[in-house]
Amino acid sequence: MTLTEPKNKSLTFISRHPPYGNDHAFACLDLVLASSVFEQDVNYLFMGDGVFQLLIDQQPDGIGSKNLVASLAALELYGVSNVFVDALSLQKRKLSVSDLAIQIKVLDAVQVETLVNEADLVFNL
Amino acid sequence: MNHLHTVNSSGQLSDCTRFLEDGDALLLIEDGVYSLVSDELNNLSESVTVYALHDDINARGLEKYAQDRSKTISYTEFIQLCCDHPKVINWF
Repeated sequence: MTLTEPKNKSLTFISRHPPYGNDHAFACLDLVLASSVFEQDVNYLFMGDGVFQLLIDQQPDGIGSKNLVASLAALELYGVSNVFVDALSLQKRKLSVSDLAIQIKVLDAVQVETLVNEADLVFNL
Repeated sequence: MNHLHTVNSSGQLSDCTRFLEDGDALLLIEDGVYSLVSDELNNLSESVTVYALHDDINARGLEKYAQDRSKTISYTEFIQLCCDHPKVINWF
Protein backbone atom coordinates (compact mmCIF):
# COMPACT_ATOMS: atom_id res chain seq x y z
CA MET A 1 0.00 0.00 0.00
CA THR A 2 1.32 3.40 -0.83
CA LEU A 3 0.61 6.36 1.31
CA THR A 4 -0.15 9.50 -0.59
CA GLU A 5 0.81 12.77 0.93
CA PRO A 6 -2.43 14.45 2.07
CA LYS A 7 -3.09 17.72 0.34
CA ASN A 8 -2.95 20.79 2.54
CA LYS A 9 -6.31 22.35 3.04
CA SER A 10 -6.89 26.06 3.30
CA LEU A 11 -8.78 26.84 6.48
CA THR A 12 -10.43 30.15 7.27
CA PHE A 13 -11.29 30.83 10.89
CA ILE A 14 -13.72 33.67 11.57
CA SER A 15 -13.56 34.97 15.13
CA ARG A 16 -16.71 36.99 15.84
CA HIS A 17 -16.99 37.25 19.62
CA PRO A 18 -15.46 39.67 22.13
CA PRO A 19 -12.68 38.20 24.28
CA TYR A 20 -13.83 37.58 27.88
CA GLY A 21 -17.61 37.10 28.14
CA ASN A 22 -17.35 33.51 26.90
CA ASP A 23 -14.56 31.24 25.67
CA HIS A 24 -15.23 31.53 21.91
CA ALA A 25 -12.28 33.84 21.29
CA PHE A 26 -9.74 31.64 23.08
CA ALA A 27 -11.21 28.49 21.51
CA CYS A 28 -10.84 29.99 18.05
CA LEU A 29 -7.22 30.94 18.72
CA ASP A 30 -6.51 27.40 19.98
CA LEU A 31 -7.98 25.97 16.77
CA VAL A 32 -5.88 28.33 14.65
CA LEU A 33 -2.68 27.37 16.47
CA ALA A 34 -3.48 23.63 16.38
CA SER A 35 -4.21 23.80 12.65
CA SER A 36 -0.94 25.56 11.98
CA VAL A 37 0.93 22.79 13.81
CA PHE A 38 -0.54 20.35 11.28
CA GLU A 39 0.83 22.58 8.54
CA GLN A 40 -2.49 23.60 7.07
CA ASP A 41 -2.91 26.90 5.26
CA VAL A 42 -4.55 29.01 7.90
CA ASN A 43 -6.39 32.30 7.53
CA TYR A 44 -7.52 34.02 10.72
CA LEU A 45 -10.16 36.72 10.32
CA PHE A 46 -11.51 39.02 13.02
CA MET A 47 -15.00 40.21 12.25
CA GLY A 48 -18.05 41.65 14.05
CA ASP A 49 -17.54 41.97 17.81
CA GLY A 50 -14.42 39.81 17.33
CA VAL A 51 -12.52 43.00 16.49
CA PHE A 52 -12.78 43.94 20.18
CA GLN A 53 -10.25 41.14 20.86
CA LEU A 54 -7.62 43.32 19.22
CA LEU A 55 -8.01 46.47 21.32
CA ILE A 56 -4.91 47.93 22.91
CA ASP A 57 -4.56 48.29 26.73
CA GLN A 58 -6.62 45.30 27.80
CA GLN A 59 -6.05 44.50 31.48
CA PRO A 60 -8.18 41.47 32.33
CA ASP A 61 -6.41 40.54 35.62
CA GLY A 62 -9.19 42.34 37.48
CA ILE A 63 -11.80 39.89 36.17
CA GLY A 64 -9.55 36.84 36.57
CA SER A 65 -8.89 36.24 32.88
CA LYS A 66 -5.65 35.93 30.98
CA ASN A 67 -4.87 38.56 28.39
CA LEU A 68 -5.92 37.46 24.92
CA VAL A 69 -3.54 39.89 23.21
CA ALA A 70 -0.62 38.19 24.98
CA SER A 71 -1.83 34.88 23.56
CA LEU A 72 -2.12 36.36 20.07
CA ALA A 73 1.65 36.88 20.20
CA ALA A 74 1.92 33.09 19.77
CA LEU A 75 0.64 33.42 16.20
CA GLU A 76 4.01 34.59 14.98
CA LEU A 77 5.82 31.74 16.76
CA TYR A 78 3.48 29.27 15.08
CA GLY A 79 4.10 30.86 11.72
CA VAL A 80 0.55 32.11 11.26
CA SER A 81 0.94 35.24 9.19
CA ASN A 82 -2.42 35.45 7.44
CA VAL A 83 -4.17 37.41 10.17
CA PHE A 84 -6.86 39.78 9.00
CA VAL A 85 -9.45 42.21 10.28
CA ASP A 86 -12.63 43.20 8.49
CA ALA A 87 -12.65 46.92 7.65
CA LEU A 88 -16.43 47.18 7.82
CA SER A 89 -16.51 45.77 11.36
CA LEU A 90 -13.93 48.33 12.50
CA GLN A 91 -15.74 51.14 10.76
CA LYS A 92 -19.09 50.20 12.28
CA ARG A 93 -17.53 50.43 15.75
CA LYS A 94 -15.67 53.66 14.93
CA LEU A 95 -12.32 51.90 15.45
CA SER A 96 -9.15 52.27 13.41
CA VAL A 97 -5.88 50.31 13.19
CA SER A 98 -4.33 52.74 15.69
CA ASP A 99 -6.74 51.34 18.32
CA LEU A 100 -5.39 47.82 17.78
CA ALA A 101 -2.67 46.06 19.76
CA ILE A 102 -1.24 43.93 16.94
CA GLN A 103 -0.06 44.46 13.38
CA ILE A 104 -2.83 43.16 11.20
CA LYS A 105 -3.92 43.33 7.58
CA VAL A 106 -7.19 45.18 7.00
CA LEU A 107 -9.43 43.59 4.37
CA ASP A 108 -12.23 45.29 2.47
CA ALA A 109 -15.60 43.61 1.87
CA VAL A 110 -14.55 41.97 -1.40
CA GLN A 111 -11.35 40.54 0.10
CA VAL A 112 -13.26 39.16 3.08
CA GLU A 113 -15.73 37.51 0.74
CA THR A 114 -12.87 35.92 -1.23
CA LEU A 115 -11.23 34.64 1.96
CA VAL A 116 -14.41 32.84 2.95
CA ASN A 117 -15.49 31.63 -0.47
CA GLU A 118 -12.11 30.28 -1.56
CA ALA A 119 -11.27 28.38 1.62
CA ASP A 120 -11.67 24.59 1.67
CA LEU A 121 -13.10 24.82 5.18
CA VAL A 122 -14.57 27.71 7.14
CA PHE A 123 -14.86 27.72 10.92
CA ASN A 124 -17.12 30.33 12.45
CA LEU A 125 -16.46 31.02 16.09
CA MET B 1 -39.74 53.02 42.68
CA ASN B 2 -37.25 52.89 39.82
CA HIS B 3 -35.54 49.89 38.30
CA LEU B 4 -31.95 48.90 37.83
CA HIS B 5 -31.31 47.34 34.42
CA THR B 6 -28.10 45.38 33.94
CA VAL B 7 -26.83 44.60 30.45
CA ASN B 8 -24.11 41.95 30.21
CA SER B 9 -23.55 41.41 26.52
CA SER B 10 -22.79 43.36 23.42
CA GLY B 11 -25.86 44.01 21.26
CA GLN B 12 -28.39 43.63 24.09
CA LEU B 13 -28.75 47.33 24.83
CA SER B 14 -31.36 48.06 22.16
CA ASP B 15 -33.78 45.50 23.64
CA CYS B 16 -33.30 46.95 27.09
CA THR B 17 -33.70 50.62 26.16
CA ARG B 18 -37.32 50.04 25.08
CA PHE B 19 -38.16 49.40 28.72
CA LEU B 20 -36.19 52.20 30.36
CA GLU B 21 -38.36 54.68 32.24
CA ASP B 22 -37.51 58.08 33.63
CA GLY B 23 -35.43 57.71 36.76
CA ASP B 24 -34.26 54.16 35.97
CA ALA B 25 -30.62 53.18 36.25
CA LEU B 26 -28.76 51.30 33.53
CA LEU B 27 -25.62 49.38 34.47
CA LEU B 28 -23.24 47.95 31.86
CA ILE B 29 -21.33 44.86 33.01
CA GLU B 30 -19.19 42.16 31.34
CA ASP B 31 -19.48 42.43 27.52
CA GLY B 32 -22.23 45.02 28.04
CA VAL B 33 -19.48 47.63 28.50
CA TYR B 34 -18.80 47.48 24.74
CA SER B 35 -21.85 49.74 24.39
CA LEU B 36 -19.49 52.53 25.48
CA VAL B 37 -17.89 52.30 22.03
CA SER B 38 -21.21 52.94 20.28
CA ASP B 39 -23.14 56.20 20.38
CA GLU B 40 -26.31 54.39 21.41
CA LEU B 41 -26.00 55.73 24.95
CA ASN B 42 -26.38 59.29 23.71
CA ASN B 43 -29.89 58.51 22.54
CA LEU B 44 -31.05 57.67 26.06
CA SER B 45 -33.20 60.06 28.07
CA GLU B 46 -31.17 62.31 30.39
CA SER B 47 -33.29 61.06 33.26
CA VAL B 48 -31.76 57.59 32.96
CA THR B 49 -28.54 57.26 34.94
CA VAL B 50 -25.91 55.15 33.20
CA TYR B 51 -23.23 53.21 35.07
CA ALA B 52 -20.45 50.94 33.84
CA LEU B 53 -18.33 48.54 35.89
CA HIS B 54 -14.70 49.61 36.20
CA ASP B 55 -13.06 46.17 36.19
CA ASP B 56 -14.93 45.12 33.05
CA ILE B 57 -14.00 48.37 31.26
CA ASN B 58 -10.37 47.99 32.28
CA ALA B 59 -10.21 44.32 31.25
CA ARG B 60 -11.34 45.15 27.73
CA GLY B 61 -9.14 48.18 27.12
CA LEU B 62 -12.09 50.58 27.05
CA GLU B 63 -10.97 53.31 29.49
CA LYS B 64 -10.65 55.85 26.73
CA TYR B 65 -14.18 55.11 25.55
CA ALA B 66 -15.72 55.79 28.96
CA GLN B 67 -18.04 58.63 28.08
CA ASP B 68 -19.38 61.62 29.99
CA ARG B 69 -22.74 59.91 29.68
CA SER B 70 -21.74 57.05 31.98
CA LYS B 71 -20.37 56.88 35.50
CA THR B 72 -17.66 54.28 36.15
CA ILE B 73 -18.30 52.32 39.34
CA SER B 74 -16.67 49.62 41.48
CA TYR B 75 -18.09 46.22 42.53
CA THR B 76 -18.96 47.75 45.93
CA GLU B 77 -21.00 50.47 44.25
CA PHE B 78 -22.60 47.77 42.05
CA ILE B 79 -23.85 46.02 45.20
CA GLN B 80 -25.06 49.33 46.63
CA LEU B 81 -27.05 49.98 43.43
CA CYS B 82 -28.71 46.56 43.74
CA CYS B 83 -29.63 47.36 47.33
CA ASP B 84 -30.97 50.81 46.41
CA HIS B 85 -33.34 49.49 43.74
CA PRO B 86 -36.26 47.25 44.69
CA LYS B 87 -36.15 45.54 41.30
CA VAL B 88 -33.17 44.51 39.19
CA ILE B 89 -33.81 43.45 35.60
CA ASN B 90 -31.03 41.52 33.87
CA TRP B 91 -30.70 41.68 30.08
CA PHE B 92 -28.65 38.59 29.24
